[in-house]
Amino acid sequence: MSSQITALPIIETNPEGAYFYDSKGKRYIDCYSGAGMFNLGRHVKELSNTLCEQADKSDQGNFVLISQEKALLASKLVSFVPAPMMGVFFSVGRGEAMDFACKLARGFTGRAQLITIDGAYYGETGFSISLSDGDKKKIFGQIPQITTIPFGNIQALEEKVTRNTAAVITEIIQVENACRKASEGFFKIMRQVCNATGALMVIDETQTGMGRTGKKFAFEHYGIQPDILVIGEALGAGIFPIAATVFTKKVQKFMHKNPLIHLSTFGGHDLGCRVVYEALELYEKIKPWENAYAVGQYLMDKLLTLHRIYPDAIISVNGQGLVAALTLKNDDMANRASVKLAREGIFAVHAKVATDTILLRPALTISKHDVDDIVRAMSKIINSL
Amino acid sequence: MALWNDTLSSKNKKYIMSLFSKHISKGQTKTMRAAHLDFIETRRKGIGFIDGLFRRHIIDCFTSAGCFNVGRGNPEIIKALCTALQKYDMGTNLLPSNNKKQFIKKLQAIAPGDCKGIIFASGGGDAIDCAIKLARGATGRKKIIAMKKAYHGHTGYSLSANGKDYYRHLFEPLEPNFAFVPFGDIEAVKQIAGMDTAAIILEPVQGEGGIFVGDDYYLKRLRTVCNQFGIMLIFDEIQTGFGRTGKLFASQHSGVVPDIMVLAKSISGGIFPNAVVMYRTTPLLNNYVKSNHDFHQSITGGSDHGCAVGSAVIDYVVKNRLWENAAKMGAILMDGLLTIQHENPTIIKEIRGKGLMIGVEYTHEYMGALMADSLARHGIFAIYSGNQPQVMRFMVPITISEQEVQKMLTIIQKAIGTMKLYLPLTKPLSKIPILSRLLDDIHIQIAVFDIVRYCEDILGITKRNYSKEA
Repeated sequence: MSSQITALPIIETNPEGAYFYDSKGKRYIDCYSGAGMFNLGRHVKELSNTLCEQADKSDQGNFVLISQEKALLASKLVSFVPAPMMGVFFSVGRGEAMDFACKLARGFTGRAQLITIDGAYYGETGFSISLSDGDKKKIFGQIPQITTIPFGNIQALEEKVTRNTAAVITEIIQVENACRKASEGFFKIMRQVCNATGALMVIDETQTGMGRTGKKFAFEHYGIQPDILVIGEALGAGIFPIAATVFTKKVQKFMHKNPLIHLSTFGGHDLGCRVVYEALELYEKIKPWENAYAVGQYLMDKLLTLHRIYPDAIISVNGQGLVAALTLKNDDMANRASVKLAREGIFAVHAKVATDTILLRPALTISKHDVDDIVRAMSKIINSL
Repeated sequence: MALWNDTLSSKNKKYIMSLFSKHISKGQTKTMRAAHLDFIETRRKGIGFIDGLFRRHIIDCFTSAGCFNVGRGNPEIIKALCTALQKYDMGTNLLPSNNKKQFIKKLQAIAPGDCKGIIFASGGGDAIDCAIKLARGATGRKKIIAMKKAYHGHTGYSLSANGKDYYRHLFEPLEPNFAFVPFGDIEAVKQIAGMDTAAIILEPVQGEGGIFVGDDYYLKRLRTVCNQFGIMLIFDEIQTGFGRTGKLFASQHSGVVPDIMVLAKSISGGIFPNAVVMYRTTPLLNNYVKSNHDFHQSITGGSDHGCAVGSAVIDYVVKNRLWENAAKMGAILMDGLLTIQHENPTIIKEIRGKGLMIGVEYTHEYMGALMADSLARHGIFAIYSGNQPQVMRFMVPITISEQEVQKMLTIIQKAIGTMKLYLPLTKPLSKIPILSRLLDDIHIQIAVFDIVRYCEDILGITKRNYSKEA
């Protein structure tokens, strides 16, 4: 991550709504949102209160035991997801949730091959790194039997996905790769070849889910449904660390047959489940995807205008809903943009895969007024890059 | 919130069990039910919890594999969380904050030796993956020596370091550059350690593997081998850390300072997830982390809440010198268990452990499940490990008092009495090899016990027994 920005003297205090403040009282519009975790805004009061209140009545619990918290939250989550899901496994973070998705696919199908997409980013744990773009897997260790195909390449799908394939793993929008997208046809064919070969379709929505792209989940844009869905920390709304792997009734057979074969000490934390249950109720009440859609359009229009004015500095603008990617000329420029934006009270960092790109992913509850501030700051600094 | 019940009616419980079966795992519900472990934890206090259905107090000897060192529902820890909640959310992982700075300082103050470098992770598995990455990244080598029977977690690299087939076999192939040696065998390490080895990873006391204590001599020799070849020594102190074994960290028994130390579980105070990888501030490790600060990013590890809670946990453990209590109470428990073993040599084969991390090994594999069942009937929650079903772990909160230890011992004695009722049936059967294998088969045990339990419930035996206890 951008070394310059972490070297800035920002000591974070008092997060609130679309903002946080530093120890000197300076306000920042948070366009990083803890890597897409603060979808309901910073420091959601209702959830903070609930966590404190319930901490006296519950705790983490014993992870092997049957618990009312896990059961009720799982039931609520499957009905929240707009696809026919049945099984749930709670993890503490996104990497762990993705690693479990891979294991579940291998375990269920009895096959080893995992197919991933070039330019992807899934997390920092063993399977996630092995599936992600970049050199990390070479340095830290590659899980065998992983095949990479180009994003959007239908022919590669048809050739590589076979009866030996356990799963095809993809994001809908590669957020860390400058919000790279693929055609609807690509995802539809992916679904078809998975059906035909018995491979499972795993969709990672850690960045795009929980309303970020203007729908509850980004797969809704393309009229497809996964067999396994990975939901990231946005589920806990920045108050409690939780991620989830959600899957169909068919796949769940593996979990019925092999109980306690994959464990997570902090996943499905009883106290956390109580808070997250309320977070889901808040999501249903606020429907932040509606604001993400409307304000996202507004943001995109403004950024495209900026792109027209500064075609030399800004190479491209991509995104959907309230995640936008501004690709600049090079890494150095993205780094400097990030530092200069911070001076203007906008906290945004470069993407992990496309390091020449600034990502904007503010709270989904952000106002048009704040978006104006973001764009104003952007146009101010862009000249001086 | 009216949603969460403190006491559960039979109807409530049935509903919860059915939802749990439907969305989490039918097999898990069955397993727990069969062994009378179908507790539903409601109130949690001190060394145990209330089973919401029968309103029984249960002593927690599993503690989520060692998460509740400071006791359950500890008011000082809860207070720290609530204070942090007034002003903070989880915070931005890229930015410092006062909570984070304070926690880092406290960790550094208690660190063994120069193991003062800090990287946050979201949980135990994530932290082990981080430790393995750090060792490989810093040394530029791949090979890791891990221990047979070791247990490090379920994420990609941590699972690859697990030394028993049980958790791995359905998910192979895993990351291949791991070599496994018997725990405690220094010669085996010497034979394969070399300039190509990035790290040796182990739990100073193997937990899930069946409570095996690494002796001082062994750990010191490992340190020497690591020094000789520039190998990173990684101690997984996820279960042993924060006082569990009678010292603040298990490494302090031998004085061996690991290059990398992994902490999770109890650091969370049992209420807010967090994990830490600590590393020696040697030029090699320091430089690597400095120039690769994004080699392992965790979104939620080292959160503002997590750090506030972690600080309170350290304060509580240090102020009350909890490791001393663990040593003292551990000795009393160990003595009591040895007496019980002496009286029941056909049931208990061996007692091992350090401080309040104690394992009881039964003479037959199937006895782990039987004993879990009998203990549950009398008010103790303890489980055998998936890795090693004949070994039962006792890892009660280390805040336990002497009176509570005595109570535990009384219950264990009673439970052995109950188990003896089964033995006339199982003992002769276990002498026939094929039946012995069937008895030891966990799936068959679960199926049989589930039927037994079903009959008990129909006849009202479970309820009658439990109300007697209460």
